Amino acid sequence: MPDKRLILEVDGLHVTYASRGRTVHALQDASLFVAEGEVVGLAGESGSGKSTLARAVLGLLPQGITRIINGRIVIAGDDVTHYSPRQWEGVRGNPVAIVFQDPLSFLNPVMRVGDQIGESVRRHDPAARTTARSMELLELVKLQPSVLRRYPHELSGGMRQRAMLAIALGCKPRLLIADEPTTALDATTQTEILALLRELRATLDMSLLVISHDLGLLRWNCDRVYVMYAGHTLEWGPTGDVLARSAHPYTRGLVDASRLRRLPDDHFATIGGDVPDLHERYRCCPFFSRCTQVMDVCRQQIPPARGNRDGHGARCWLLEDGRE
Amino acid sequence: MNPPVLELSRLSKTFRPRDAMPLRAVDDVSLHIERGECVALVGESGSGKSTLARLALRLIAPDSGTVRLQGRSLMQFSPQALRAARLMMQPIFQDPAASFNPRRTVRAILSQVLVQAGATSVGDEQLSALLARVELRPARDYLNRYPHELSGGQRQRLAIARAIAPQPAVIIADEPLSGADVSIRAQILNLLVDLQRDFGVAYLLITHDMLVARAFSHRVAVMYRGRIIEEGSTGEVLAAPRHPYTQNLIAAVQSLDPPFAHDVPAPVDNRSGNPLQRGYAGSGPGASHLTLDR
Repeated sequence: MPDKRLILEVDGLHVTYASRGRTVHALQDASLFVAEGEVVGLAGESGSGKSTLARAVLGLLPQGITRIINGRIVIAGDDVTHYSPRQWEGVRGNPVAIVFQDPLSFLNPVMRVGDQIGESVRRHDPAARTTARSMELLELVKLQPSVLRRYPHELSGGMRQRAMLAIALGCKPRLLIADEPTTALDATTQTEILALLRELRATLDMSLLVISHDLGLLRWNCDRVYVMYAGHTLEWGPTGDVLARSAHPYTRGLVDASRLRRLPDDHFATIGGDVPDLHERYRCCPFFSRCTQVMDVCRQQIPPARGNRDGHGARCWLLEDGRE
Repeated sequence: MNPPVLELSRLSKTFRPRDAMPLRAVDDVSLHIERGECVALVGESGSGKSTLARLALRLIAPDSGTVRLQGRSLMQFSPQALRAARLMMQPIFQDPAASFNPRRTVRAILSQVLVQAGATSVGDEQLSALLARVELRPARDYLNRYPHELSGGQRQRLAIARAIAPQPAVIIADEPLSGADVSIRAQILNLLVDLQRDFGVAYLLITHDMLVARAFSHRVAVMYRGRIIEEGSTGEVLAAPRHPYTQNLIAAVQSLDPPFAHDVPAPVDNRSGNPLQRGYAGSGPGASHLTLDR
């Protein structure tokens, strides 16, 4: 356990969806924590469960078809795992807020940006002086005051993401989740938005959970990272350790594929095999069928979590005693 | 000497919306691509990259300038002649789902293009060979499926199969990899490498991803506000960009391995002094640094 207080703790979370009469195990064994003031990255490919995890942490799992089978979510000391929709309203916005990949689908297209920021401000603090506070928020995200009178479609992609950010910050969150915040943006805008996020983390004293498939982005912006695969957190630890001295074969595969360097045969490193079938509840290592170093035990038992003093750890049978 | 596979000369296109200022999307752009060459066209959204691709494909008409395919100008071609010529110049788009007729099976999609390319009858054997080229195997698993029944990566492979079916000289690919997962991206690039090696196909690869441009292209053209502001071999442009805009683009890349520079085609030495690479080179588990205290 770290010395700092935890703002978020997810422990062994197992979440299922009902889909066309079948059960999808979107999250199977997901664990992570975010300490106060930390920037934590969550990496994984499509279907790894990273967005389901983000939704679970905000109580945004679709009702009726989703079930939390196992595990717990603790936010700022409160166990929120089985909160009612009404109780979740006391969590969303503050202490936890989220910005999504595509701001255009989350901003109200027929409402001026200023009104949307104002709504968020009043929701958090009904007595607030809305205009003054909205201006303050715009300044924080480095937008001109004139943006208050604009509609979302009149803004560029980067400006929309900043407007979303202003709305999220209106609630003074202690943890901001950024779900693929810059995927649709140009590289230069992407760098600006991430620099802004880190700056805000420091000035507003909040924590950040950045979800991305882009390891390069996480490499430059996060203190620690988690790597997810098929609903499991397979590796975690300080960013440099996880990406440069990966303990799990999946992380190594992901790092090598991300590099896009030519191999001697002129090809690029990739990860062989098929994407995991989430209809299955894994009772062994979920990566075994694609792993180049698979052993018998990998097909039979769930590997235990192993870690070192720096908080770098993984779930892989290769890390057991007797193996180098 | 052979003429370039594709030669764009002084192309310009201005869009004139009724209720807004005219927009000079492409402004006096010249670019050529040799046989078997890959030219990456990079730039940010709104720079005119996609308009240039559509001009090259003659999907829209330029205000001025010429498109030459294998030495022949396409500017005076009749619609029929243009259709035939276009078989030699195939597009791949960012969103493969949107580029297929959703009511046609894989078999119908591929048969159609083979017939357009002159085949009188198309057998399953021919279709299987085509699908095998893009690693959709076994073919019987795919031939009767509809595009929406394929995964994103499989659909992009189908788009590539359709593009290579008429054996084109050049493929114009507009952001074919954005939205793809890391491992899929590498798989698709490997496929493009193989096609280049086996058939000598040339590529105009439009991308906003400098990492992809670095990995795959021989030359880079940087587009900004409708103009090509810098052009050169990929190695030179990435190592010593001259234009401040290019310098910004390169500085913004958040790559796993700093500094970001060109490293093709030299083989990768995993045992170099780069601390990021130490510790997991070779085939060992590379996890011996993990002390096993619980």
